[in-house]
Amino acid sequence: MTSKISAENLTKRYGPTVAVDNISLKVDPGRIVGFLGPNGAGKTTTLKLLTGLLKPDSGQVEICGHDLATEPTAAKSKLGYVPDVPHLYEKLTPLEFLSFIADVFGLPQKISSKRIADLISLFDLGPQAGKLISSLSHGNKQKVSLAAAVLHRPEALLLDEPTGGLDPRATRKIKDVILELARGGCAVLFSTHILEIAENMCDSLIIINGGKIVAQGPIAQLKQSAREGSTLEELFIELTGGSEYGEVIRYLND
Amino acid sequence: MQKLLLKYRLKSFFGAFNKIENRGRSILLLVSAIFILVFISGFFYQIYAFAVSNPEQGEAILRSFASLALHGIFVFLSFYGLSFAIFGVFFSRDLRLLLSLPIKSFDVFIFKMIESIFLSSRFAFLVFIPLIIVMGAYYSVSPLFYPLGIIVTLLLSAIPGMLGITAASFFARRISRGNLKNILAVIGSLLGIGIWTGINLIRPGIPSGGLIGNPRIFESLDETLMPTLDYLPSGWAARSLSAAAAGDWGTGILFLAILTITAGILGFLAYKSTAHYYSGGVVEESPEASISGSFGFLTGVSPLLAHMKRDLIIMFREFNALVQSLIMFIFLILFPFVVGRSPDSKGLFNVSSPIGSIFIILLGYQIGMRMIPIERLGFWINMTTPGGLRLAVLGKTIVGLLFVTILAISAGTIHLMAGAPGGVGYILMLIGFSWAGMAIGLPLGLFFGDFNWDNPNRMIKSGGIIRYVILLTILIGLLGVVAGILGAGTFSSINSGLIIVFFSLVLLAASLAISTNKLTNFEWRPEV
Repeated sequence: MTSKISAENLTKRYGPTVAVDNISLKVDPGRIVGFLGPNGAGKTTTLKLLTGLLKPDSGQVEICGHDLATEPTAAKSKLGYVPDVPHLYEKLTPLEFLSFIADVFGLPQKISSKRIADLISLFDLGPQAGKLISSLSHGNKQKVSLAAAVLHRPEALLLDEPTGGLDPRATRKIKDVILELARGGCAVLFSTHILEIAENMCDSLIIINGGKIVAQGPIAQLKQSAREGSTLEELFIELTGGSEYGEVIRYLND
Repeated sequence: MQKLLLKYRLKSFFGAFNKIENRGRSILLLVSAIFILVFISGFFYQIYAFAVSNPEQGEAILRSFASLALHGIFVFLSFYGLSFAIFGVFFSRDLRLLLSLPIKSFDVFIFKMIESIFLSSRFAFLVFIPLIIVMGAYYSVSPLFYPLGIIVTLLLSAIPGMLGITAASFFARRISRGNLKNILAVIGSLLGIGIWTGINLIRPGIPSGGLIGNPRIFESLDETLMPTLDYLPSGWAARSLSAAAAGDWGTGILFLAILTITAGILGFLAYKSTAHYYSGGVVEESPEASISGSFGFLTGVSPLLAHMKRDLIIMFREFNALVQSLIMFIFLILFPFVVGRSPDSKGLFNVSSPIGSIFIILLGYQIGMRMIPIERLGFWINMTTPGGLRLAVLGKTIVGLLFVTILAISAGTIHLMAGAPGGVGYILMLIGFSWAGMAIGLPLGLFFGDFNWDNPNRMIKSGGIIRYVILLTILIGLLGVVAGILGAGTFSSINSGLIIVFFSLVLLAASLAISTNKLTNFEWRPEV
């Protein structure tokens, strides 16, 4: 079985800082992989390398068997991406934006019109569909960003904190959409800080710290390798350096 | 509390200059400020020397010159005062924080007022300082004149600011932030065009010759323009300074008192209007109504057309940026008419002169450069979709070329209808020069585009501006050489127009090659 998302020995440096240090990962069709790590661990940089927004200093990325460096158009036509901050075209309406995305991905107009209408309805964007994106709330912008990422039914989906700023109802819908896409064979890699979501949705996890992968594998296997009875939160803190938590408790008790 | 707030504001102001990524901009600003100060001081010294060499008219020369300078500054400060008041006092990003802290609204008002006045008038002191020094030197004044001069100029800077705050309080809750920006852009542009056109239109009525070396110009201004403007605060400031410099302290202090009382009344009005709004919470953006009309006929045709359609929509909705390009277009249309009114010229001024061609090159450049960062922080979308950046840049090039070609044909047709020589060759020349401008602007937008801009003036990174100025000078020089070789000013044949178009196409091809090379290694790091 060929992995839909594959990265080999990815490294990215900013001057003396190594933001991503020799990372390799794979996400198979129909699998949902959680990408966890503390702030500044290199999650967003890794996801940007996987989408082509950044160029790796070394290493290779393949999306659905297409090398991102040599066959970017073929690779990107299979990819959906939701960034951590929904910077969209402020002077377009959600309808215009989704119509643009549909055209760029070459969707026939009949299909795109129906899918856009369905996604607008699914994410409760009806009243906002004709207003400028600049006037939408952060949560609604995030919904538009998600709708754009799944509009062309991607085979590989990269999500960077997709539930940030969303209400519980929208969060639930996103979870359902991701699960449904995975059932259809889409490979999903998503970063999140909400361990509960990761535990409930993901088949396996990749934990990153200081630009390096410190653990990866199915959740049950990772828990087994930790202390007996450990929760995912305890495992995460243990793997990513938990000394600061003792300081937090001391500070709050003072 | 106000001191504390101002201390942190000053820290953040100077901190921005010290940031490594802002170094280029800081150096550019400093060099520009020194250059302007030296230039203005040199000019003022010439006026001073001229006044000294004409003892009979010396006082009148200096009085009308001071009056002219202060009136000019007052007009600009009134516009900037309103602009800074709207965005500094009512729509400022730090207001949410300030109003949520246990600080009296009066303290917040004083802080925001000082900040807004300082930001809107800081460059006026490049004129005020040399003016006071020149007046002081001419009249050999007592040292007391200088503190009075500083107080007068401070009051003159504060009055438009306070007036701006009072006026802004009226607009702030009635018109949305976006529309206010658009309205100010139009007012600013009209002000610029109006002043430029006005100067050129009244020029034939003023005796020929330069400003310096021609006392008749000052006499003419003293008799016609100045008395009508004497009732403005700039007129009071001019009278206060002139009288005090000439030793008439009574009149000097009287007008200083009038300025002080005016500033006090306006300050009170500004506080009253602002406090009312501050107590009602920050001014939020009013929800926008749904909009329609978005080139729907271009939907579902091809990815390239999708890019073009998106750019067209954004161009027409980024009103502020559009105005900045259109102002060049208006200048271009007006240029031959206004300059042509000079008694020395026969008929219309020839746009194919080096100066005229600069307008059309700058028009093309403005549009070419702005096409790249027009999507702002949404530009990354081009990099994650099939076709990627190459398709996006191709779409932008086509849209930009279409736009400048339409503008060039429109301007050329208007000139031809008004009697400009050259026929089709003339229009081809305008098209060619506008394309050459596009060719310069496109790669610069790609190399130095600032995607995180709020003001359209900041659509290109400051570090890039220095390199841009050098490159632009070289390229315009090259175009000038080509125009010179072809016999600029006599574009009467289609052939010479075609040669310019051909030259521009070569430049465009080079520009696309440079851009493509840049795209291969382009990374999305808008913060850098």
